[in-house]
Amino acid sequence: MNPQAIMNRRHFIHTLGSTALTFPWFSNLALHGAEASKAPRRLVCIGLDFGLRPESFFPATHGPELALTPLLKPLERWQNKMTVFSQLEHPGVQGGHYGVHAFLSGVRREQAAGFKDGCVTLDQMVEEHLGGLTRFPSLCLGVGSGDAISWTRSGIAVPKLEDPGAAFDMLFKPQRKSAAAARRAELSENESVLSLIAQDAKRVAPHLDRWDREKMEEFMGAMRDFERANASNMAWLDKPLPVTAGQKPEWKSEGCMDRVRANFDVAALALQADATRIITLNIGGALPVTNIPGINRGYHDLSHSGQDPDKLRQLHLIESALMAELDHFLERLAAMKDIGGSSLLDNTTVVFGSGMGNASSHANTNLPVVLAGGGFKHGHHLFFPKNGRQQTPLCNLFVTLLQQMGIERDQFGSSSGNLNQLLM
Amino acid sequence: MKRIKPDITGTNGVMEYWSAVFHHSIIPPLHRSCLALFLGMVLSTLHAADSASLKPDAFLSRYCLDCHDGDVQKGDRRLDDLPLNVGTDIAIAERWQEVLHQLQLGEMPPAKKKQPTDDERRALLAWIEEQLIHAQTSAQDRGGQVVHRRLSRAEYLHTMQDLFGFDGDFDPTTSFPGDEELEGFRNIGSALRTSRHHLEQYLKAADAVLDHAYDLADVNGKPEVKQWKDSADKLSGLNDAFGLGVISAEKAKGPAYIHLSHGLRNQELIFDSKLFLSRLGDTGVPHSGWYEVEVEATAANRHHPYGKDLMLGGLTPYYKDLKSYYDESQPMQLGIGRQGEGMKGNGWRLIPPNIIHATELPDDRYTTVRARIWLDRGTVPYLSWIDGPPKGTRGQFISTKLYKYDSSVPKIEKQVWANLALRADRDKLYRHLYQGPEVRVHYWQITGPMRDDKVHPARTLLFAKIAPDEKQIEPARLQSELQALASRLLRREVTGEDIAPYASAVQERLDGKTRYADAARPVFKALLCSSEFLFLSEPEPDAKTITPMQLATRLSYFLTAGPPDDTLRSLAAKGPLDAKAIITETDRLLDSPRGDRFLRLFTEQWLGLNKLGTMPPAKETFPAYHIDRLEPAMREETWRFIAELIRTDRPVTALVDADFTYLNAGLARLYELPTVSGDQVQRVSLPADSPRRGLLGQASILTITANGVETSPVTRGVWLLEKLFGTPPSPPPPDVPPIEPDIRGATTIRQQLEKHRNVQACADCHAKIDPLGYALEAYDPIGHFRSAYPNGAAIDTSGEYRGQPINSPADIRAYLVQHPDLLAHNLAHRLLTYALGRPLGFTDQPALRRLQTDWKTKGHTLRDLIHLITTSELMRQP
Repeated sequence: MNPQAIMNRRHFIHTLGSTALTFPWFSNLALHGAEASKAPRRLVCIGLDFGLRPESFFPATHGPELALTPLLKPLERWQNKMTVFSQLEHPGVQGGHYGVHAFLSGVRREQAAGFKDGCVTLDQMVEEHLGGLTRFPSLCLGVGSGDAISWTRSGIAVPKLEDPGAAFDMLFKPQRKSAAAARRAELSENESVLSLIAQDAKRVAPHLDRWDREKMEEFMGAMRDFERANASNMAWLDKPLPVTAGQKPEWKSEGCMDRVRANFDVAALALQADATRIITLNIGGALPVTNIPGINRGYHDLSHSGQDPDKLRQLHLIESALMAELDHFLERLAAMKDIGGSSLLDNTTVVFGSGMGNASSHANTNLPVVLAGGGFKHGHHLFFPKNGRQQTPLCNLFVTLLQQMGIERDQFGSSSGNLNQLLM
Repeated sequence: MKRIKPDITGTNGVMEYWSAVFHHSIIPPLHRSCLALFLGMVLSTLHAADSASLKPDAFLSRYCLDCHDGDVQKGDRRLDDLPLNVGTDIAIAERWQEVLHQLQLGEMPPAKKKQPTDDERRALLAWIEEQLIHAQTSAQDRGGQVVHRRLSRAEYLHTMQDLFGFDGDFDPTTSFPGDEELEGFRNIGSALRTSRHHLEQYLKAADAVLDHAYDLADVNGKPEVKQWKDSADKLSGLNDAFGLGVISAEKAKGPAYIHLSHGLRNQELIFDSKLFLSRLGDTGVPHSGWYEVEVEATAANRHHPYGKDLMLGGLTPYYKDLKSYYDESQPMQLGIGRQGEGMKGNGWRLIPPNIIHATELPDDRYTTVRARIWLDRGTVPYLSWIDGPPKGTRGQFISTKLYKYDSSVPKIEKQVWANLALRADRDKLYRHLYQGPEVRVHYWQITGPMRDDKVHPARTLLFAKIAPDEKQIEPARLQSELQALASRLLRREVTGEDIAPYASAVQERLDGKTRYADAARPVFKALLCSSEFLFLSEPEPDAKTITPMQLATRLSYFLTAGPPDDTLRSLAAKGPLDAKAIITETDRLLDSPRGDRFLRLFTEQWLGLNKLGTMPPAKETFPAYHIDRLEPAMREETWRFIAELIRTDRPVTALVDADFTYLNAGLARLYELPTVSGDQVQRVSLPADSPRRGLLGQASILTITANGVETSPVTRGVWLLEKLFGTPPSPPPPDVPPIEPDIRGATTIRQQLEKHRNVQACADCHAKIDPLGYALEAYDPIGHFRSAYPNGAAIDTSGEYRGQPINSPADIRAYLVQHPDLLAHNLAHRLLTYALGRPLGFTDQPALRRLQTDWKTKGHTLRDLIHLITTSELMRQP
């Protein structure tokens, strides 16, 4: 079915009139398939709840030679294909654990009202523009029941899939005929229910005063957005599922890092099949780290190292294992062929880091960030010294990443500029 | 350094103030503004000259701007750009309001700084008050807005429960996005957002609600009674193939059984095992209703050879000194319950199982237990050994100790077993060797559903005058049916015109073959997702007052988190409610079981208890927290405590000093108080010298103010200032690095904080925060009493707060009892915010002040406060 036709039928909702948000990606629907000869750009953001021990992560020297610290060692083969940043942070974001969810937005949800785009995260901003091009506008994965690191413009945490097997099925497993019919019936019932709700809202709106009307417009905006998503889902229902040659990931119940790997594997397969182009993965505190030999305390406990040598040793086991998983993921992307002879990694932006700077002091400053993937001048350790109170916002990097994704923005979150020197 | 620039040029405030004065004059607008400017300057000079000793700008410059100018901006506050003419600019007025507040509390200037004389302080206070009163009167008609308020997640659930008469554990809101908080509350209209994710969830939830309601309303006729049964004997044939853990008759040398070896604190025998012959676990029961559960079981080996060793494993020290809490002097109890939401799988969410029926089992005798329990569609019952030893015991026990007791096992084999136990099949080992207590279940059956004779409320609501299977309906009849339904759902009198689109949608679908229940379902769904259902309706734009039904709705959502019930609605239908009627209704709702919802939600949000569980204490260091399921018990203790204080009209000081609390077995152990039996909390009296009196001694508070690993005097101090004193400190300056704890040597957090306090930027706030936190250092991260830190360093709880020595929680308690106004002001503010569902604005101050004065006159007791709020003008303000 032609999605444009569906949207026209839903014209009555547009006539409700509002200044509220729209999905720019619908205007891009026609692009799908048109530029098949050029590889699309993808984005993967990985956020840790507890940061990385600064002493083990940040290189002591900065500049064009990226020195390998104990935590960068596992990424050795990417030494010239990645960039590490020091002293980037989110100005005004504090609160220890309660600041971690702002990793990809620079804005805590409580502060959202003060920002033009609320507390929207990098990935969701990209989804607004490019999400409609794939069956799954974005994919939000999680392991270890951690924080939400993906937030919509309206301040809603995008629900995480905590089971990589279920994520794989969602992406690739054909639905039974009866389930597909039920889904179609559901989507079509949604249409008729929404039309009643819309008529009702239209009747109520004139009776509201200014303050109430703002809330009502929010409701109507939600309705329009839902309507479009519903239409898009309906359109995708008739298109063939993405195909993968990959296997459904399996992991041992007593494992720890293989759960993390299973998530990375699903992410790689999803990108390869173009099921989605935008992925976030949160690595949280309930990771069963005590299943790793040599570790007898919980992750959160260890992150409060208190400079105790034994706790630091155990923490290092976890953190270097996570870096090794990142290495594995980059390697998988590098081995996957993309359009025009390039590799998937050449066309993917990978951000790995945390909204927590130093977990032992609960500091949200000096955030650890690694950038990998093609399209950047890599191989540096970029250091942004503080000038009195003047911090360099991590959002400056995000502005550059947005531009790299083809989204013309010169401002994002708390940005004060950009890091376009990274661009090729 | 930049000094004060009295800003009387170019702020809107000045303009508006003076254009109001000249409103009726004939001076052209432009000239008016110029004149206003000029007069503004004159007035500000004159005004300042009037005041006793010091002009406001001179006051600020002398006492405030050292820290609060554009360069320093301590606490993120700058006063050098604060206009001296408040005018009607609410934003400016609110900044002055804060200055007033800080001066009144004596918070500013900080003790170490140059202090104004009393006269100077008084004069400035008087000046600010005058400015503010003017601003308040002129801004009155626009302020204090009640924003169109979306139902919070809790309110949505309770609304459905009340409308449809759902009384099980049915909860359609579990995948709703979390509600936004403002000032800690989750029912603040301006903060609650609505997005397509919400809408998607509302559509799904409405479906779930209607599925459940259609079942209860017998839309497809009365469900047939069925029976499901399983027996250990039959299952033992499948045992090896499926690992069911059944002991066959042959091995048992008696009836075959499945054991419930451990108690409520762990997982129980849930009937949803897909392997059971009954296949009940595939879908749960097909219909909601009453079910007869019959269980044949034996309590075996109550007295056992293991002594205290039955309690082993990495338990915290306080367990080691106590008697094992498998108490063999008590008969063993079999519990029958239903599986609550969240029981499945997720080990982090410690949701208490819902035990409905408990039976004492006679020792070593084959016994039949019967219970009639309510099961919602799709759920299954479960069995548990209520007073059995906790989770983890058995595994620890086997791997370390069990083999040493059984003399029939050769020593060499014991070693083999012990090695095996460390890595392999503990269940197998257990079956082979265990001689300890266990509940053995031989047979179970479930029969139902049985329904009550009376018509279910879901039927009365949805199918009042039209039966589900009618296929042709007169338009007039349909209209009046839908009108009545919509009036109930939307909490107002719905007109025929309003309902017309819904009626025609149903009519269109009634094609002669379709039943009313099917034709009307999308319409029911649309009503449940309409803005009027999801948002609490507020007055029309120019209304001077709210309707009785709107007042009833506000009262009801405040006191029961749900819609007005029949009594309240019929009262409101008769006309306006006077103060006496409001108080009667307030008392009725507060004392009803639905009043628990308010008491629980308010307590949790005010005190921040929803932080419990977000950073759970480590299993390795604080096993008791997990073994004893302390988290739900902690929540329960605190809200029940507050509930009793309010319902029994205790004085506000009882918040920190009361002679009772609510404990269950686990909490009593944590507090090292005399034994309390069972998992349900119960009221316990506390002696006059108990450290557990009042909120400061409660584990919930002590746990949320730690981080699951270590305690922080700063977090605890800030919590006290914010939640009880009502004097929250400013956030730390962004350029001061937080403390990184060092546990290597004997350095304590206190020594580290002392260093921190040497930094001038930190000293002022920490002088107020830290002493309160130090006093609570004698409690570990889950609220257990301790005399030393884990690294052996001694704990020092001494300190001084505002010139008064504070050396223990008792001293904080005494301080607050001596300063009841602090507690009272703060609580009134919090409770009013929750009641109104909006933050208190600047224009609410006069009403708030009156309420505070009235409450003080009446003696500061808690039920009085609720009465004052429900009868306050703010409650009726459009």
